[in-house]
Amino acid sequence: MVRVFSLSVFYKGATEARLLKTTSDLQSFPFFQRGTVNEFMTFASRTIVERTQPALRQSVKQDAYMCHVYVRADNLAGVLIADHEYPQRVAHTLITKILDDFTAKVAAGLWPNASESQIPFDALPAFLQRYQDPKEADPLLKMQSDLDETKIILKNTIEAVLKRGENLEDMVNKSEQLSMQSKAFYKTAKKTNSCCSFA
Amino acid sequence: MEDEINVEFNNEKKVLCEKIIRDINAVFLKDADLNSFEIIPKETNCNKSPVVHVEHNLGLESWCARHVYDHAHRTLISHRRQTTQQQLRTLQQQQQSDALAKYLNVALLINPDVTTFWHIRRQLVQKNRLSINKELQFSALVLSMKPKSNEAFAYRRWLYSFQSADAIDWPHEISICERAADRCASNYHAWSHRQWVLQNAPCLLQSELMRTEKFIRKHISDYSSYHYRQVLLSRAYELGYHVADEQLSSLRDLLAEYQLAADPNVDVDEALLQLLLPNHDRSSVSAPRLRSFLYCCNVAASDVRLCVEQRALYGQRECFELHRRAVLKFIVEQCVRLLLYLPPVSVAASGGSQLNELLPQFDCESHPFLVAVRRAETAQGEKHKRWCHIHLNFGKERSQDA
Repeated sequence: MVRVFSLSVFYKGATEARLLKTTSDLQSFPFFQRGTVNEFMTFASRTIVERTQPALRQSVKQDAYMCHVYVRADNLAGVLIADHEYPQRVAHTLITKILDDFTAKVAAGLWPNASESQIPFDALPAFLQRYQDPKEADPLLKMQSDLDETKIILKNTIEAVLKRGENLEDMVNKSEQLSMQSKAFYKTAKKTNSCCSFA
Repeated sequence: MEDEINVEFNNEKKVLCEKIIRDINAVFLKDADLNSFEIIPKETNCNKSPVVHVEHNLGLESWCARHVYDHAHRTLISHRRQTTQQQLRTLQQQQQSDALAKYLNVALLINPDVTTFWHIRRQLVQKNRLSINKELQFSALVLSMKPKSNEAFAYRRWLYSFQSADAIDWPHEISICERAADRCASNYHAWSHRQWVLQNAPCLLQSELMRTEKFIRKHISDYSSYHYRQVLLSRAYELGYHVADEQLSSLRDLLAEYQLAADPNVDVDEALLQLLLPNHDRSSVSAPRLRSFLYCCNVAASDVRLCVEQRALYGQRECFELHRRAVLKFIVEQCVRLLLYLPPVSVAASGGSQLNELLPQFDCESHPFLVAVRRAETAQGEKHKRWCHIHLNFGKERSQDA
């Protein structure tokens, strides 16, 4: 299945990543899991942005999902979560395009402090819908032909992105962004090995 | 003393289970458009009802699922063990089947794999205690919970056996198959159910050709969907399906790739037929058959191109290669069958002569299309050459090479 689940833009501050804008399409998940899946996608996106050096691209595989991250040298970061079959080259090209559009619309002064609702950028849902079909990105690929795919760092799990001494389970437990319900969900899902084992 | 506590605890549990089962059935009665059911992972009882009903979606919290299922299972099995006379004595029949349906609903939603329970439902349908429409809806709900449930698909086919084919909402049935196939890759039961629909509703050919193309573009590694498309193509040809004024551009492109130029002085159909069926006595085959031949070969040729395009976008995948072979074989096979004046193969009836049995009776050398296919395909690597050798009977040329 070729599918994009979520798109988000972060600002990577000195200590933590700030979410500037996000959108997601979770129709393919069971109804009652969508809220939790959404929280976990944001959690995973933030975690990976915080652990990616500026001016670096990473693609992190987790189960059937792929989390593509690009942190620009000016600390603006884009994350695209897709199915593992979504072409990596297209994903990174899209992130570049989104960050370019974002920079053109939103003044850099807003990035470190503004809240999500104050950011005047509403193009993400349209992006998400349009590029469900990677063919749509053909013109973009031609325009940004300088993307060097060999420089994208590939990781096989989120664990592989974490710093030494960090542990995903502890992070889930400590996280303030995840609701109690999602944490319980994560534990149960992990135990029963249900289809929703994101993060 | 301990026993007493145990009994009391068990009674309490039973009352709780009964209440949950009642709650679930209340939702059934209230919401005629229930869309999905799922078990919500939640380990502890928060003293709230574990039955959640939001926007036509029904959820049951996981902590109670086991107990509720146990209770429903026990009740149903003990009913099953009673003799008919006992059953008659215990309750009025209508009341009794209502009660049974209540337990059946819950038990099958939590665990759809119990054939006995599906049989009890069948018996109730036969006694007119359950309505067919409600049953179709219920089995769709089970499929939202377990998309690979063969029991649920089989039950639907059984229910439809009481209805005339004209009265059945076939497009709805296709959308149920598609939802199940989308949720679970390689969903054998969903795709064979869809083949059954296709057999019964030939009017769907056009929309199916479009839908399956869309599906394989999205589910690039799900070979079940490619296979269904191959069956669909054979079925379309068997039924002589074609669309008027089709430009046949994919087929022309494919032939151009094989360096076969169509004669520009005659019309497109005629030029293509000259290339594919040289020295063929047209009067022996009806005109609609030939039009269907061109149309279906054109669909196959567009699939060949689709596979090549997908490979360029996503990289090498086994599915692309296999499907490309299958549709190419389709074109070659239909050419050969027409040249030997054989009817198309029936999808339903297996058997009949296979392509590689037919080819030896046939002199490929005199046929420019087959020669061109052979030349181009054997250049695509050793493995592909071996496949061509077995399935397209390219052995002769191999032995000449050696």
